[in-house]
Amino acid sequence: MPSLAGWPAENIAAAMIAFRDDELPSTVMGRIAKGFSDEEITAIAEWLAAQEEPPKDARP
Amino acid sequence: MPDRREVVIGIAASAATLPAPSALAKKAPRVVVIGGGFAGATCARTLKRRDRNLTVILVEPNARFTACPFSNGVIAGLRDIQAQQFGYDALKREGVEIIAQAAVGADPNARMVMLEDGSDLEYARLVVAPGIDLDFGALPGYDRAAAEIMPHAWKAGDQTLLLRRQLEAMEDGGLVVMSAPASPFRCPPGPYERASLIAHYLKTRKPRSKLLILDAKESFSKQKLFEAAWKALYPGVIEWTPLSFGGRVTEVDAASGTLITEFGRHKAAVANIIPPQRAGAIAQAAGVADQTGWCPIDPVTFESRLQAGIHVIGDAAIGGAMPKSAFTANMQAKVCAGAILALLRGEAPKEQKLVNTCYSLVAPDYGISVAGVYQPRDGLLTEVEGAGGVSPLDAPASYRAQEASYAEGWFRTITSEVFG
Repeated sequence: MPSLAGWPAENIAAAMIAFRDDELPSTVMGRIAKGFSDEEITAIAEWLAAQEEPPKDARP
Repeated sequence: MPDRREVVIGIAASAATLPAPSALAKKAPRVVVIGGGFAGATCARTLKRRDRNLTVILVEPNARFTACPFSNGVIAGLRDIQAQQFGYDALKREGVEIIAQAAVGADPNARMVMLEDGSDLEYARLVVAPGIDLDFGALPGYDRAAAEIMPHAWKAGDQTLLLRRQLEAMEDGGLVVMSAPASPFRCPPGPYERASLIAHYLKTRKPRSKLLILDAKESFSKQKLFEAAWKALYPGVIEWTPLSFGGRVTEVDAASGTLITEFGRHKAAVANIIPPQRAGAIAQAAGVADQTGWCPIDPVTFESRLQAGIHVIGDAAIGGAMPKSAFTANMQAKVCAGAILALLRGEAPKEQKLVNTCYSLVAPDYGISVAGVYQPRDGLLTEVEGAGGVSPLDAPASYRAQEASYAEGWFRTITSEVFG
């Protein structure tokens, strides 16, 4: 499975929104993404994009 | 003797590496975390990663942690116990101090933890993450000695291996009997994943054997998915007896291998008793457990409802709809760490949403899952409507195989994040 760390934030957010709106097939991602608003998804994506693998500093 | 010039340079050099005077004036705050499982180890590591100046002490008597997720695979002979075991070296390298002792008490007024050797530890904030204790005494006949004959295997380690050896030693045609407790308990789908993987072992190694589940509940997690899979993969092997059909085990007789219910007696070749549970003993000693045996918490900070300055996370905590799982423990630990850092800075902790995902293997290449998103609402962790849910009932084999592979990916990811 590829790591998300270092992916551009906009790609992560677009994928999460597509999972949420059932435009991309998934197993659990769609079920989880349905719990989050666009703003929350953007915040998650920006945080993930800022991570190195493994996370060295989880400061938001 | 160094000459005067060298001494002066030495002083200048060390002054440059010292923290600023304002930081020297007050001692770095100290957070003590009790318990080095998914909850405690995650919390300790997260606190230290987010604030290097914080003193973080993890109190954990065992040098090695044995993880419960995937331990049903060990019981069924699909996996070695070593794959479940993790040490604390990575936490030490990142500056978490480990004290290899059991905590025996806490004084929330003095903000002190008492250790088994009689020494004390002061704290600014305390995190209690002891996981579960098996409630020996809640089931007549089931005590520590009986557990050596009828293993619970609900804390991974020697008990896991004992149950595996018993299955290996059982003659083909022997009856395996499991007893599942009433809710709440650690890992709601766990007993049924275990039944599935034991059935897989029986089907491949002891095809004349059967498995009976005696359940103190009327229904269970992912029930339709499990039952459909049992029908397809293990027809006639697994029988599930719910509460209303006499499923509740009221007594056991370990010497004769007998489980007694309100409706009758069942003699087992191998018996697996998953007894009632409660928060680990330190939770009672610290005064954070209520009469249910679990620890009520604030859903934003995970601070105890009963004692100020003490936070409870993971299986020991209750406070709404989140199930007791490793994923939950890891998630709660991160939210709790963020709240503690905010509180230590004198800021208001932010409300967070939390996620849980639980995978179960019904066979090595057949996984099913349940997911949920939770948020603080009216003082409880409440499921976000419209999100979460279980795997579809009508999915093709490729979907089940994908979830089995994601289950392993999840285990690798969480264990490397926490211990690697």
